[in-house]
Amino acid sequence: MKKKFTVKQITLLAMLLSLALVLSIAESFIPFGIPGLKLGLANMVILLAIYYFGFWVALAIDILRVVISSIAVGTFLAMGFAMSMAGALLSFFVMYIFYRWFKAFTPVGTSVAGAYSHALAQIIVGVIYLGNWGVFYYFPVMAIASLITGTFNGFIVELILQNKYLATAVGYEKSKTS
Amino acid sequence: METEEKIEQPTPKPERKKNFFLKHLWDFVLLGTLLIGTASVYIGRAIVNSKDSNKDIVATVLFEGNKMEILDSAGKNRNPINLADINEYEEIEIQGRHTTLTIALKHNSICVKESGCPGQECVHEGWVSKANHPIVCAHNGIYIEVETSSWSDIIQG
Repeated sequence: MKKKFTVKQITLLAMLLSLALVLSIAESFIPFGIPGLKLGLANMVILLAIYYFGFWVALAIDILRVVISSIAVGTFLAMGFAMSMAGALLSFFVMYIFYRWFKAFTPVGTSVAGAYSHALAQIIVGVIYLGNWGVFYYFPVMAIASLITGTFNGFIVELILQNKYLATAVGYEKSKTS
Repeated sequence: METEEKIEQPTPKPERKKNFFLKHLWDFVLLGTLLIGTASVYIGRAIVNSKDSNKDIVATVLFEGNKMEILDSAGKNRNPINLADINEYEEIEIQGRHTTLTIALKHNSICVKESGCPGQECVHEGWVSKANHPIVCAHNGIYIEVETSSWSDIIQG
């Protein structure tokens, strides 16, 4: 956070937040019939923010995204909010750990780990809230779906990171990933 | 010199394709491990559950982890509901944390017919007639446990 942001970076940051917001609100309208099962498109933006801006900015985008989108959808401080906040935070920390300390993984692996932990966090909140381990009934389906969406999102992030124009606009050094 | 460079430039593309699997080796290892682990749990559970199919079932409605009180016309608590005893379609209303839920019952089947929750996942779950398939309405803190009759007999002694 010590470094000053350029205008380009601030603009991109705002764009990332609004993109994350639009994606998370839009995907909340896609029903899958299973609680908490979503495409996780917003996770893609968070992963991108981790690679572009590092820990604090990505965390800020992540928290703001959950809070603002829940206000917009109308689930603020309700059950869905607790679930998505827990999922967002756990997946963020897992993704950051993978990005920072497990260099063998590309954005694909990082995204998969994030998506899987997102599903896990939601189930754990469900178990705590409903006081019943039976909620784990939903875990395998959610987890396998998260692996598919995680892989998909990971490849998209990898493609975006290869974009030279975007990278120079953000001041992103490609050497960090490879 | 210029011509030599032009000839050499197109070569990186095939190299990148070659390295695709090597580059993502650990990603695929992680993906495979998680996939096999989760799938084996899923398949294992499906095998265990298949033994319980076509058995009489009992539904227990829990509110935030505690058994809810559902009164019948005589004023008796009928929760857990023995679904094998129900021969006619009926509906009961219960109060969740935020909204009310309408639960429909028929012989060996239960479903959430209506709910005021935003996700409507509990309604989409549809009729449940097999044991070990819970219905969850997380928004309302409602958890409907579905078990075989014999299993709930063991629990209740």
